[in-house]
Amino acid sequence: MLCRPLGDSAVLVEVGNRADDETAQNVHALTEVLLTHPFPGVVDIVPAYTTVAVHFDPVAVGQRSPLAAVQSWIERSCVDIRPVSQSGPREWIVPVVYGGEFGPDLAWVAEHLGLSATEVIQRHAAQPYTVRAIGFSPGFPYLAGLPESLRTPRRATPRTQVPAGSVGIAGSQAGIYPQATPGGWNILGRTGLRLFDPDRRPPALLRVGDRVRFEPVVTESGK
Amino acid sequence: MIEVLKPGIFTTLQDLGRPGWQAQGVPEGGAVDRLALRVANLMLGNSEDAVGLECTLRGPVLRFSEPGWIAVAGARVSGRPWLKPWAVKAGESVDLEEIVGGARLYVSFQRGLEVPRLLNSASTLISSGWPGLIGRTLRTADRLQLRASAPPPPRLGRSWSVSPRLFPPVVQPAILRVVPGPQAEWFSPQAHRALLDHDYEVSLRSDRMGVRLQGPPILRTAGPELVSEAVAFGSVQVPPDGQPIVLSADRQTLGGYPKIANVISADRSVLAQVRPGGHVRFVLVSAETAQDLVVRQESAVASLRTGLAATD
Repeated sequence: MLCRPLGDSAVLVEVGNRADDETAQNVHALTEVLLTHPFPGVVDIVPAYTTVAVHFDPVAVGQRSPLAAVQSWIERSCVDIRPVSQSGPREWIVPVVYGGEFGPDLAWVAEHLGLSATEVIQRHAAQPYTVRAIGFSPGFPYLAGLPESLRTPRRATPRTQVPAGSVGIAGSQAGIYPQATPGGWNILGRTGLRLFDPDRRPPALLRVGDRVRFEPVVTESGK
Repeated sequence: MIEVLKPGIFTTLQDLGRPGWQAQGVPEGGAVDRLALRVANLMLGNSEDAVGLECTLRGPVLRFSEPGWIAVAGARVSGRPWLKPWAVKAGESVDLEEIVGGARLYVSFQRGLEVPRLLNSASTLISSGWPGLIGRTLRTADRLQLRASAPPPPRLGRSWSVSPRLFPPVVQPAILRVVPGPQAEWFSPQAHRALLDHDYEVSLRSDRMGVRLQGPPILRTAGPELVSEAVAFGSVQVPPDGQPIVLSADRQTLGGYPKIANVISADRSVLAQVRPGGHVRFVLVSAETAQDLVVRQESAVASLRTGLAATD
């Protein structure tokens, strides 16, 4: 495992060199093992596609070389990494109301891809996705697993406000907006699931390595 | 109670932010110039992470309905004491408009302010609309509530001021010391020379998320695309146009641009105080130097803390 300094107060651990599901599980496993071996001065442990970052307060670490101390703590902790199969990924069902006012880009995406709206919904909800990173905004999951046939460019002009719960796609990625923010992804639908709740611990519903499946919800008007 | 007569250009409520939640996608946030806010609070006997006002480029005019004590640090404000608390009378208006010697003025109030908190912090996070003043900048007629009355510590009755040693004057160009970033080797020697041998101008589009710079482009020859990974305060990101962005307090937790360098922790205040139109110059230092400097800075704060406590 390669460690690279990120300034004088953080270190990046490279877990794999390919952003795939196996790396996502290893990223999750390393994150878990670090969280269960607390180290003085460590402030944040941030998993992403292929890396885990450890942010620390160099003064609070209280050693001559905080960077070296943190790196050796990471190496020692790695010994206790449990095989991924033991814990296994968590699985979530995300109910989605597709199209209409909740999915303002569904019609455009269908037209762009030469599919019907129903086909877009079926393909979007057909297979599970894996959470590869949480970022962009609090609780926002970057999901891998979008079928090739649903790849679309981002909107030419980002929206100034995408409502909370919006389910979107862009390029090869899928995601869900936990809160109303500006955004450039194509919005297919909306979920009522609360992806980020500041009063919940942890506040983000999803974490790296989780499996997510979208489930179309039939609405009153859709009957 | 404190009434806002004029809000200033970009005034927000800030404490030391929300470290500890970055895995949840929550930006660290908080005062860009943490040192300044901490010192402003220390002078008044507040806890160092108490919420204060971060005033950018032009500060507010405030009217106090009750007597109080305030202290400012970071940049200075014309006609008012710097690094030395002063008493405000009931009904008095305090004009903090003319900010000089930096970009950000920090104003702390003895007793502190009554502000809603989210994830253990009252810091305003504009992008998420989080606390402070329902996630926005100060506006005319806003009212800030001081916390329940607490007697001023004895230090406020004595005559002293904090040595300005902690806040060196902003020079042109401002010197930002850096260590190599995680993708430093993705850039050619020419690209590194561009970064280190020229001054960069601070763009008007700079904000609490990052300081955008304009100057000789730092170009990358073809190479791998970076998979998004964590970024830090001071990370020098290089987008495809070669104009670097130095990430600041409200940066997102992850970034997809390669990071050629990282500003050292000890120069955080320098970065916080550069004004749009001003210039910066990057100087490479070793990890050991970065380390020594941050430890030295922190021990200066510790001495100040002890010294002020001795005046009580």
